[in-house]
Amino acid sequence: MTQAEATERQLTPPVTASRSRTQSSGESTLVSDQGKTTIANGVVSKIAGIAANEIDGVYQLVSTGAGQTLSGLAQRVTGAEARDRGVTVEVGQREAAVDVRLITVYGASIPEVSQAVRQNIISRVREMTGLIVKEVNIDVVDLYFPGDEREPPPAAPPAAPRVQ
Amino acid sequence: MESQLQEFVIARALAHAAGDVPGVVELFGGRLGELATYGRGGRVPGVRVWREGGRLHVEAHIVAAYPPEHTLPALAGSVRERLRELLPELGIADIGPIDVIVADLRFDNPPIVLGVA
Repeated sequence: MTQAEATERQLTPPVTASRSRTQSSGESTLVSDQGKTTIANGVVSKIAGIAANEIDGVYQLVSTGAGQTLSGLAQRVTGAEARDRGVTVEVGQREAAVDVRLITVYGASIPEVSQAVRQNIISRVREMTGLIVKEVNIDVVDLYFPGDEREPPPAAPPAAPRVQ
Repeated sequence: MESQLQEFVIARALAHAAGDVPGVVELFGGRLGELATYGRGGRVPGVRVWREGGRLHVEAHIVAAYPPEHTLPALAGSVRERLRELLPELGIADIGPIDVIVADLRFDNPPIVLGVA
């Protein structure tokens, strides 16, 4: 048995609502006399993002509520797909809080999709990092209508050179 | 007698061993390359080694394969164990904390990023 397993995080009783959503802000750190183990926030975000995308009825995750169209456009143009897009995490020593912004597929039950996303994030993060996810806030920012896939807008013509 | 190996040399050995632990894809040198040990022979990204009061301190920043075989804390524990085993072979007896940071994840099918290279 490794040291990490021996010092596996212990379940803590649910903490009553307080301003800070997790016990301490920052990265997840496990301390033993042999040294600390730290899980970077970006790692937790990626795990949560993948977990959300695994759920049927989730069309995609988007970076910000207001910039959804822009971010979708940017994604089509660049082809980039960041696994932690649309996910914000707050990580304490034993607990984490996760916020996700997503677009659901029209026709899927939003409460059911939200609940499935929440469950999947909680179990994936728990099994991979040992962190207890206390809170998953889901912001459904738009709907996607299947069959309504528009052609991506033509790329903007190259800007005229500003200097000759 | 305590070995007086340079930190750089120790870091080279530790980085090699950490990178060989199954589940570790590579070491993470920081976004700006700031996580490294420097020496006359160059630099070792992802491993910081220093002596404090005669004890050797180690910090290893790893990129883990997704999904992890067990858990990320267990992977970090395997890395720590491996490094702790190795240090006496380098002649280092006074071993302090070995901190392991899971800095990032790596996927089999990385997202395709087009655009400016």
